[in-house]
Amino acid sequence: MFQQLFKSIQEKVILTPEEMELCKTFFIPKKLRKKQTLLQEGDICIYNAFVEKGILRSFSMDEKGNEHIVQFAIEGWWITDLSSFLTNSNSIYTIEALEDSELLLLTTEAREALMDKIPMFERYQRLLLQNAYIANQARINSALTETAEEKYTNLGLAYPGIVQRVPQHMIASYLGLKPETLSRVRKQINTRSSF
Amino acid sequence: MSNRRTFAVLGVSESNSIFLAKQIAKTNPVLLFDHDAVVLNTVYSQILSEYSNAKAEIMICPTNASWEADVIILSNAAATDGNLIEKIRNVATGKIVLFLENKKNTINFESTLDKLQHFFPFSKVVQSFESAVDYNNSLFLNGNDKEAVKTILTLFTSIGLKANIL
Repeated sequence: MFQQLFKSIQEKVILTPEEMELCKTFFIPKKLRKKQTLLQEGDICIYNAFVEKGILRSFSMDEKGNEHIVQFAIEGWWITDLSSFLTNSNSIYTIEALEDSELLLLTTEAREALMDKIPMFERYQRLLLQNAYIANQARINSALTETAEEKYTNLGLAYPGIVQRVPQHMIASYLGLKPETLSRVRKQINTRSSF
Repeated sequence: MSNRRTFAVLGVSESNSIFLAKQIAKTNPVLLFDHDAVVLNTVYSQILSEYSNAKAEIMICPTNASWEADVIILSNAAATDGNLIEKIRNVATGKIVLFLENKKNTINFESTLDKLQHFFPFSKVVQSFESAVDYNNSLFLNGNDKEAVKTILTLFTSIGLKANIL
Protein backbone atom coordinates (compact mmCIF):
# COMPACT_ATOMS: atom_id res chain seq x y z
CA MET A 1 0.00 0.00 0.00
CA PHE A 2 2.95 2.35 0.65
CA GLN A 3 5.38 0.97 -1.92
CA GLN A 4 5.32 3.91 -4.33
CA LEU A 5 5.30 6.49 -1.55
CA PHE A 6 8.40 5.14 0.11
CA LYS A 7 10.09 4.78 -3.27
CA SER A 8 9.34 8.45 -3.94
CA ILE A 9 10.56 9.51 -0.50
CA GLN A 10 13.71 7.39 -0.59
CA GLU A 11 14.67 8.85 -3.96
CA LYS A 12 15.04 12.20 -2.21
CA VAL A 13 15.72 11.60 1.48
CA ILE A 14 16.51 8.72 3.81
CA LEU A 15 13.97 7.67 6.44
CA THR A 16 14.68 5.19 9.21
CA PRO A 17 12.43 2.10 9.43
CA GLU A 18 10.84 3.67 12.55
CA GLU A 19 10.14 6.90 10.67
CA MET A 20 8.59 4.94 7.80
CA GLU A 21 6.27 3.16 10.24
CA LEU A 22 5.33 6.46 11.84
CA CYS A 23 4.77 7.97 8.40
CA LYS A 24 2.16 5.32 7.60
CA THR A 25 -0.06 6.45 10.46
CA PHE A 26 -0.60 9.91 8.93
CA PHE A 27 -1.93 8.84 5.53
CA ILE A 28 -5.55 7.98 4.76
CA PRO A 29 -5.72 5.06 2.30
CA LYS A 30 -8.44 5.69 -0.27
CA LYS A 31 -9.62 3.79 -3.33
CA LEU A 32 -11.26 5.81 -6.06
CA ARG A 33 -13.13 4.29 -8.95
CA LYS A 34 -12.78 5.47 -12.53
CA LYS A 35 -14.61 8.81 -12.99
CA GLN A 36 -15.03 9.35 -9.23
CA THR A 37 -13.82 12.71 -7.99
CA LEU A 38 -11.48 13.50 -5.16
CA LEU A 39 -12.18 17.22 -5.37
CA GLN A 40 -15.09 19.15 -6.85
CA GLU A 41 -14.71 22.68 -8.17
CA GLY A 42 -15.99 25.09 -5.50
CA ASP A 43 -15.04 22.87 -2.55
CA ILE A 44 -12.03 23.41 -0.31
CA CYS A 45 -9.23 21.01 -1.14
CA ILE A 46 -8.44 19.28 2.15
CA TYR A 47 -6.14 16.59 0.79
CA ASN A 48 -2.79 16.34 -0.88
CA ALA A 49 -3.07 12.98 -2.66
CA PHE A 50 -0.25 10.60 -3.49
CA VAL A 51 -0.98 8.13 -6.29
CA GLU A 52 -0.01 4.56 -5.39
CA LYS A 53 -1.88 3.12 -8.35
CA GLY A 54 -3.91 4.56 -11.22
CA ILE A 55 -4.08 7.95 -12.85
CA LEU A 56 -5.91 11.18 -12.04
CA ARG A 57 -6.44 14.50 -13.74
CA SER A 58 -7.03 17.99 -12.45
CA PHE A 59 -9.09 20.32 -14.62
CA SER A 60 -11.02 23.57 -14.65
CA MET A 61 -14.10 24.31 -16.70
CA ASP A 62 -14.79 27.53 -18.60
CA GLU A 63 -18.16 29.26 -19.04
CA LYS A 64 -18.82 27.32 -22.25
CA GLY A 65 -18.33 24.01 -20.45
CA ASN A 66 -14.93 23.30 -21.99
CA GLU A 67 -12.53 21.41 -19.75
CA HIS A 68 -8.95 22.59 -19.38
CA ILE A 69 -6.63 19.96 -17.93
CA VAL A 70 -3.87 21.41 -15.80
CA GLN A 71 -2.29 18.24 -14.45
CA PHE A 72 -2.18 14.49 -14.74
CA ALA A 73 -0.85 12.32 -11.91
CA ILE A 74 0.34 8.76 -12.34
CA GLU A 75 1.91 6.31 -9.88
CA GLY A 76 4.47 8.03 -7.68
CA TRP A 77 3.07 11.53 -8.21
CA TRP A 78 1.23 13.92 -5.95
CA ILE A 79 -1.90 15.81 -6.93
CA THR A 80 -3.83 18.57 -5.18
CA ASP A 81 -4.98 22.14 -5.66
CA LEU A 82 -2.07 23.62 -3.76
CA SER A 83 -3.60 27.08 -3.48
CA SER A 84 -6.84 25.76 -2.01
CA PHE A 85 -5.00 23.19 0.15
CA LEU A 86 -2.66 25.75 1.71
CA THR A 87 -5.01 28.73 1.99
CA ASN A 88 -8.35 27.02 2.67
CA SER A 89 -9.90 28.79 -0.31
CA ASN A 90 -12.46 27.31 -2.68
CA SER A 91 -10.91 25.36 -5.50
CA ILE A 92 -11.33 26.21 -9.16
CA TYR A 93 -10.36 22.66 -10.09
CA THR A 94 -11.94 19.23 -10.14
CA ILE A 95 -9.72 16.20 -9.53
CA GLU A 96 -11.01 12.99 -11.12
CA ALA A 97 -9.74 9.43 -11.44
CA LEU A 98 -9.20 8.31 -15.04
CA GLU A 99 -8.68 4.72 -13.92
CA ASP A 100 -9.52 2.82 -10.73
CA SER A 101 -6.96 4.31 -8.39
CA GLU A 102 -5.37 3.81 -4.98
CA LEU A 103 -4.40 6.96 -3.15
CA LEU A 104 -2.75 7.99 0.07
CA LEU A 105 -4.31 11.20 1.36
CA LEU A 106 -2.62 13.73 3.57
CA THR A 107 -4.61 16.46 5.29
CA THR A 108 -3.04 19.84 6.04
CA GLU A 109 -2.96 18.98 9.75
CA ALA A 110 -1.36 15.59 9.10
CA ARG A 111 1.18 17.16 6.75
CA GLU A 112 2.18 19.74 9.38
CA ALA A 113 2.37 17.10 12.10
CA LEU A 114 4.41 14.78 9.91
CA MET A 115 6.88 17.54 9.01
CA ASP A 116 7.14 18.37 12.69
CA LYS A 117 7.82 14.80 13.76
CA ILE A 118 10.05 13.79 10.83
CA PRO A 119 12.30 16.65 9.65
CA MET A 120 13.36 14.60 6.62
CA PHE A 121 9.74 14.59 5.48
CA GLU A 122 9.82 18.38 5.46
CA ARG A 123 12.93 18.24 3.26
CA TYR A 124 11.12 15.78 0.98
CA GLN A 125 8.14 18.14 0.72
CA ARG A 126 10.45 21.08 -0.03
CA LEU A 127 12.16 19.16 -2.82
CA LEU A 128 8.78 18.19 -4.24
CA LEU A 129 7.62 21.82 -4.29
CA GLN A 130 10.91 22.85 -5.86
CA ASN A 131 10.49 20.27 -8.62
CA ALA A 132 6.86 21.23 -9.11
CA TYR A 133 7.88 24.87 -9.55
CA ILE A 134 10.50 23.92 -12.14
CA ALA A 135 7.99 21.73 -13.99
CA ASN A 136 5.45 24.58 -13.99
CA GLN A 137 7.99 26.98 -15.46
CA ALA A 138 8.81 24.46 -18.17
CA ARG A 139 5.11 24.05 -18.91
CA ILE A 140 4.59 27.80 -19.22
CA ASN A 141 7.61 28.08 -21.50
CA SER A 142 6.35 25.20 -23.61
CA ALA A 143 2.91 26.83 -23.92
CA LEU A 144 4.44 30.14 -24.99
CA THR A 145 7.20 29.05 -27.31
CA GLU A 146 6.67 25.56 -28.73
CA THR A 147 4.75 24.49 -31.81
CA ALA A 148 1.90 22.00 -31.47
CA GLU A 149 4.16 19.21 -32.74
CA GLU A 150 6.94 20.10 -30.32
CA LYS A 151 4.51 20.18 -27.41
CA TYR A 152 3.16 16.72 -28.23
CA THR A 153 6.56 15.20 -28.98
CA ASN A 154 8.16 16.60 -25.83
CA LEU A 155 5.26 15.43 -23.68
CA GLY A 156 5.63 11.93 -25.12
CA LEU A 157 9.37 11.96 -24.46
CA ALA A 158 9.06 13.29 -20.92
CA TYR A 159 6.01 11.32 -19.83
CA PRO A 160 5.39 8.34 -22.14
CA GLY A 161 3.23 6.71 -19.46
CA ILE A 162 0.74 9.55 -19.65
CA VAL A 163 0.49 9.72 -23.45
CA GLN A 164 -0.11 5.97 -23.63
CA ARG A 165 -2.77 5.83 -20.91
CA VAL A 166 -4.77 9.00 -21.43
CA PRO A 167 -7.36 9.55 -24.21
CA GLN A 168 -6.08 11.82 -26.96
CA HIS A 169 -8.72 14.50 -26.44
CA MET A 170 -7.44 14.91 -22.87
CA ILE A 171 -3.86 15.14 -24.10
CA ALA A 172 -5.05 17.87 -26.48
CA SER A 173 -6.74 19.71 -23.60
CA TYR A 174 -3.59 19.48 -21.48
CA LEU A 175 -1.49 20.88 -24.33
CA GLY A 176 -3.99 23.65 -25.06
CA LEU A 177 -4.75 22.25 -28.52
CA LYS A 178 -8.00 21.40 -30.24
CA PRO A 179 -8.50 17.63 -30.61
CA GLU A 180 -8.50 17.97 -34.42
CA THR A 181 -5.18 19.85 -34.28
CA LEU A 182 -3.61 17.08 -32.20
CA SER A 183 -5.03 14.48 -34.58
CA ARG A 184 -3.44 16.29 -37.54
CA VAL A 185 -0.11 16.60 -35.70
CA ARG A 186 -0.09 12.88 -34.88
CA LYS A 187 -0.88 12.03 -38.49
CA GLN A 188 2.04 14.16 -39.67
CA ILE A 189 4.40 12.50 -37.20
CA ASN A 190 3.21 9.01 -38.20
CA THR A 191 3.53 9.78 -41.91
CA ARG A 192 7.12 11.02 -41.46
CA SER A 193 8.14 8.06 -39.31
CA SER A 194 6.76 5.56 -41.84
CA PHE A 195 9.21 6.77 -44.52
CA MET B 1 -13.22 18.21 -0.96
CA SER B 2 -16.02 16.17 -2.36
CA ASN B 3 -18.81 16.25 0.22
CA ARG B 4 -20.27 13.00 -1.03
CA ARG B 5 -18.67 10.71 1.46
CA THR B 6 -18.73 7.00 0.78
CA PHE B 7 -19.88 4.79 3.68
CA ALA B 8 -18.99 1.15 4.28
CA VAL B 9 -21.55 -0.67 6.43
CA LEU B 10 -20.00 -3.84 7.77
CA GLY B 11 -22.54 -6.20 9.23
CA VAL B 12 -26.12 -5.68 8.08
CA SER B 13 -27.97 -8.24 10.15
CA GLU B 14 -28.95 -5.80 12.91
CA SER B 15 -31.83 -3.36 12.78
CA ASN B 16 -29.74 -0.25 13.54
CA SER B 17 -27.18 -0.90 10.80
CA ILE B 18 -29.94 -1.74 8.30
CA PHE B 19 -31.72 1.49 9.16
CA LEU B 20 -28.56 3.55 8.75
CA ALA B 21 -27.64 1.88 5.48
CA LYS B 22 -31.10 2.58 4.06
CA GLN B 23 -31.13 6.22 5.11
CA ILE B 24 -27.59 7.02 4.02
CA ALA B 25 -28.04 5.30 0.65
CA LYS B 26 -30.65 7.92 -0.25
CA THR B 27 -27.91 10.51 -0.62
CA ASN B 28 -24.48 8.88 -0.40
CA PRO B 29 -22.82 5.78 -1.81
CA VAL B 30 -23.10 2.87 0.63
CA LEU B 31 -20.99 -0.26 0.40
CA LEU B 32 -22.61 -3.21 2.16
CA PHE B 33 -20.81 -6.20 3.60
CA ASP B 34 -21.92 -9.14 5.70
CA HIS B 35 -20.53 -12.65 6.13
CA ASP B 36 -24.04 -13.97 5.59
CA ALA B 37 -24.68 -13.67 1.84
CA VAL B 38 -28.40 -14.32 2.23
CA VAL B 39 -28.82 -11.50 4.75
CA LEU B 40 -26.65 -9.26 2.61
CA ASN B 41 -28.70 -9.87 -0.53
CA THR B 42 -31.95 -9.43 1.36
CA VAL B 43 -30.94 -6.07 2.82
CA TYR B 44 -29.59 -4.91 -0.52
CA SER B 45 -32.87 -5.85 -2.25
CA GLN B 46 -34.87 -4.13 0.51
CA ILE B 47 -32.92 -0.91 0.07
CA LEU B 48 -33.39 -0.90 -3.68
CA SER B 49 -37.07 -1.78 -3.48
CA GLU B 50 -37.73 1.03 -0.98
CA TYR B 51 -35.51 3.62 -2.69
CA SER B 52 -35.00 2.94 -6.37
CA ASN B 53 -32.30 5.62 -6.62
CA ALA B 54 -30.35 4.31 -3.65
CA LYS B 55 -26.61 4.23 -4.10
CA ALA B 56 -26.06 0.89 -2.43
CA GLU B 57 -23.68 -1.83 -3.54
CA ILE B 58 -22.82 -5.30 -2.31
CA MET B 59 -19.16 -5.83 -1.49
CA ILE B 60 -17.63 -9.26 -1.12
CA CYS B 61 -14.57 -8.06 0.76
CA PRO B 62 -14.58 -5.91 3.92
CA THR B 63 -11.08 -4.64 3.17
CA ASN B 64 -12.04 -3.22 -0.22
CA ALA B 65 -15.27 -1.77 1.18
CA SER B 66 -13.36 0.00 3.95
CA TRP B 67 -10.53 1.05 1.65
CA GLU B 68 -12.99 2.77 -0.66
CA ALA B 69 -15.02 4.30 2.16
CA ASP B 70 -14.56 7.60 3.94
CA VAL B 71 -16.62 6.43 6.93
CA ILE B 72 -16.74 2.84 8.20
CA ILE B 73 -19.81 1.70 10.13
CA LEU B 74 -19.45 -1.41 12.25
CA SER B 75 -22.46 -3.26 13.56
CA ASN B 76 -22.30 -4.82 16.99
CA ALA B 77 -21.45 -8.20 15.47
CA ALA B 78 -18.78 -6.78 13.16
CA ALA B 79 -17.07 -4.93 16.01
CA THR B 80 -16.58 -8.17 17.91
CA ASP B 81 -15.25 -10.05 14.89
CA GLY B 82 -11.49 -10.01 15.41
CA ASN B 83 -10.83 -11.41 11.97
CA LEU B 84 -12.81 -8.65 10.28
CA ILE B 85 -11.15 -5.95 12.37
CA GLU B 86 -7.75 -7.29 11.40
CA LYS B 87 -8.73 -7.15 7.72
CA ILE B 88 -9.79 -3.51 7.79
CA ARG B 89 -7.43 -2.02 10.34
CA ASN B 90 -4.77 -0.85 7.84
CA VAL B 91 -7.24 0.80 5.48
CA ALA B 92 -9.11 2.56 8.30
CA THR B 93 -6.27 4.94 9.15
CA GLY B 94 -7.47 8.53 9.42
CA LYS B 95 -11.11 7.55 8.81
CA ILE B 96 -14.16 7.74 11.05
CA VAL B 97 -15.06 4.29 12.39
CA LEU B 98 -18.60 4.38 13.77
CA PHE B 99 -19.50 1.56 16.10
CA LEU B 100 -23.22 0.89 16.52
CA GLU B 101 -23.48 -0.67 19.89
CA ASN B 102 -26.60 -2.29 21.29
CA LYS B 103 -28.54 -0.88 24.19
CA LYS B 104 -26.36 -0.54 27.22
CA ASN B 105 -25.98 1.15 30.51
CA THR B 106 -24.36 4.55 30.04
CA ILE B 107 -22.14 3.96 33.06
CA ASN B 108 -20.04 1.40 31.16
CA PHE B 109 -19.77 3.21 27.83
CA GLU B 110 -16.09 4.12 28.07
CA SER B 111 -14.68 0.61 28.23
CA THR B 112 -16.03 -0.33 24.79
CA LEU B 113 -14.78 2.87 23.22
CA ASP B 114 -11.31 2.35 24.64
CA LYS B 115 -11.29 -1.24 23.43
CA LEU B 116 -12.26 -0.24 19.91
CA GLN B 117 -9.88 2.71 19.83
CA HIS B 118 -7.16 0.22 20.78
CA PHE B 119 -8.07 -1.88 17.72
CA PHE B 120 -8.05 1.23 15.50
CA PRO B 121 -5.32 3.40 17.01
CA PHE B 122 -5.06 5.73 14.00
CA SER B 123 -8.78 6.04 13.25
CA LYS B 124 -11.40 8.37 14.67
CA VAL B 125 -13.59 5.94 16.57
CA VAL B 126 -17.12 7.07 17.42
CA GLN B 127 -19.42 4.95 19.55
CA SER B 128 -23.18 5.18 19.21
CA PHE B 129 -25.62 3.46 21.52
CA GLU B 130 -29.09 3.60 22.98
CA SER B 131 -29.35 3.93 26.69
CA ALA B 132 -30.85 0.95 28.49
CA VAL B 133 -32.23 3.24 31.18
CA ASP B 134 -33.31 6.24 29.12
CA TYR B 135 -36.47 5.48 27.17
CA ASN B 136 -36.78 8.62 25.05
CA ASN B 137 -35.29 6.82 22.03
CA SER B 138 -32.32 9.12 21.98
CA LEU B 139 -28.91 7.86 20.91
CA PHE B 140 -25.67 8.72 22.63
CA LEU B 141 -22.47 9.49 20.78
CA ASN B 142 -19.04 9.26 22.27
CA GLY B 143 -15.52 9.50 20.87
CA ASN B 144 -12.07 10.96 21.36
CA ASP B 145 -12.12 13.08 18.20
CA LYS B 146 -14.62 15.91 18.67
CA GLU B 147 -14.85 16.72 14.96
CA ALA B 148 -15.62 13.10 14.12
CA VAL B 149 -18.34 12.96 16.79
CA LYS B 150 -19.84 16.18 15.41
CA THR B 151 -19.78 14.73 11.90
CA ILE B 152 -21.75 11.70 13.07
CA LEU B 153 -24.15 13.89 15.04
CA THR B 154 -24.82 15.89 11.85
CA LEU B 155 -25.31 12.66 9.91
CA PHE B 156 -27.74 11.24 12.48
CA THR B 157 -29.71 14.47 12.69
CA SER B 158 -29.94 14.69 8.91
CA ILE B 159 -31.60 11.28 8.75
CA GLY B 160 -34.04 12.05 11.54
CA LEU B 161 -32.37 10.41 14.52
CA LYS B 162 -32.27 12.01 17.95
CA ALA B 163 -28.73 11.97 19.26
CA ASN B 164 -26.73 13.53 22.07
CA ILE B 165 -23.01 13.84 22.55
CA LEU B 166 -21.84 12.39 25.86
